[in-house]
Amino acid sequence: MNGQPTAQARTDARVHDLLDEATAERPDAPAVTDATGRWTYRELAGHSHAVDAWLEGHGIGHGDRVLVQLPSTRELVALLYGTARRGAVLVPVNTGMKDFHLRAVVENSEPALVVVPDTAVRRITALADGVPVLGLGEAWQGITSLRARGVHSGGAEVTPGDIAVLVYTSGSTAAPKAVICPHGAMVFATEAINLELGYRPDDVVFCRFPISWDYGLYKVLLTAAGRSELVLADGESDLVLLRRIRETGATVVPIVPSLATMICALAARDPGRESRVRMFTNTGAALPKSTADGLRAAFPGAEVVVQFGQTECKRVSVLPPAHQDAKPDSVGRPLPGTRAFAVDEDGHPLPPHRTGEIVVEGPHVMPGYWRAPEQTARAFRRAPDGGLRLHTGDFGHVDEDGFLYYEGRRDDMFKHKGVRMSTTEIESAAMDVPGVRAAAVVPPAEGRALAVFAEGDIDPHTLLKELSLRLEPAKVPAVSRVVDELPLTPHGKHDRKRLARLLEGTAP
Amino acid sequence: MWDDRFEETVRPFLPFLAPRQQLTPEDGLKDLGLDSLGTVQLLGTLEDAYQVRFRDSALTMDTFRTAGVLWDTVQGMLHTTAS
Repeated sequence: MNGQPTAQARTDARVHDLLDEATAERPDAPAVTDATGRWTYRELAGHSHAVDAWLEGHGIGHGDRVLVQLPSTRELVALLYGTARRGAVLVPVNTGMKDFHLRAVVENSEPALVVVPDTAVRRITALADGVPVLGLGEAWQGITSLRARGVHSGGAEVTPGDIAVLVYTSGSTAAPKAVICPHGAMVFATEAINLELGYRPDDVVFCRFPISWDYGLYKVLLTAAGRSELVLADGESDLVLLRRIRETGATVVPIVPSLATMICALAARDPGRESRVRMFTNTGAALPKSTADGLRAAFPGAEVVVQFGQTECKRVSVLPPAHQDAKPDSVGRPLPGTRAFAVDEDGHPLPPHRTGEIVVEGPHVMPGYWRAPEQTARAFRRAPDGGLRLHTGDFGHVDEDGFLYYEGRRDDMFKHKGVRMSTTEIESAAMDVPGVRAAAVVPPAEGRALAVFAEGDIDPHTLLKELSLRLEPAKVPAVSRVVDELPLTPHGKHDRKRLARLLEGTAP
Repeated sequence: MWDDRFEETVRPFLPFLAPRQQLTPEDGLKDLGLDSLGTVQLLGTLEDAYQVRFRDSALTMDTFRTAGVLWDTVQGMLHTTAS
């Protein structure tokens, strides 16, 4: 027994039910705050109804994709819930996504409508191939005037199996691929996570991450489930991170290791002031012990909660603080109502402490990738009970109490600055740079930074600059080397081990 | 122009700047690879190196826009400290 909560997460609710329930219970409590203001639950719900009506007016119906590339503000939260009400599918893409990838996302998702900042309308129209592209300013005028008149849509039938969101993630292929996120699975994941984390009505959740990333997206749903307040801080300068955490009265701060490092660095130069933070929740990559200790020292009384997951099932496991001392190396136990364990190559469960691929079963396993049947078949397979079993591609084991231990990846995927990416994706961007004949990427590890090696007629710093035009910032390597010839293994693949030896000592 | 210590402090945070390439006051630091983690770490490193403290009002991305603007900010603090 591992002492899991006995309450159960629902599988039959819809995303906007979370908002409506929070609104019924705490209509005048703060729901969401951004740099320009704050809405109560009642105001957020009102805006989401206006978005629903506005979408209806633009001919958006059940299953239509609405692609948004917008900063994480209150308007985007209203668009999320309003699109859910409409039974349409929100496709939130990162504001840092470059045209190189955005074109592929538009092609793959086939949106019926695109909403972007006013300044981006012309650029996006040029690459969106005939799809209507609207500026948020213009859209928002329409939405506010509908809200002022209290207009609701004619209503739409939305079931828990309907798709609410497509979340684009880095694939093992060069092009981004989307995880299909139905209402029911999203609400289940949200409530199951909250059984472990316990967001409360007096919580203020400080979200430094964009809503286009599932880590930020689920903060919207989790705060509704907890009747808590969400502070959207993605657009703000990281130099004021610590001040904003203190000013907003944040009690919960979701982090990735690099964000935690920044908070520690800022706390080191500005120590000792009061904060209300009671919990940091980590994901993305293992948090170094020194960083976790730094957070605890700077925020006395705050807990640091370890979590583990991937968009394909939102979250695999959470390590509740009560178990941290006993199991310091574990990434936690499976979410309540779900299973996660290691299997051998034939899919048979392995006994405790034997290493295999980590697989996940339960109502939080998403149905697959959007329009990618081969990749879906590889990762989402049949479980013996007839449900889906997600093959995570992560390797590890469980202990006798069912706690998980992560050991690594078997493919070319890795995480950097909390963002999942693949060597393939960065290599293909490098190959797109004029002058590059061949490229190999070496993922970061203890003692070495993320690095790109290229063969060709190019300056190493120019290569990094060119990559920064093609990739989101987290995916741009820190180290660039141009070599006469890339070393190959006897099988003709990049010899990353030899390349890695060239990099020793490139990271602190 | 700035002193050697400034250049030695800033350079390691600029991965896109080649070792022999000159750093000029107009150079955009972000274009040279200064990311947000680097910005926060550079802030602490500069404060240690010059024994100064950036005011809250100077904690903006604008302060870290170019090498020249950043040096002006540091220098401004040095004068204040000296007087």
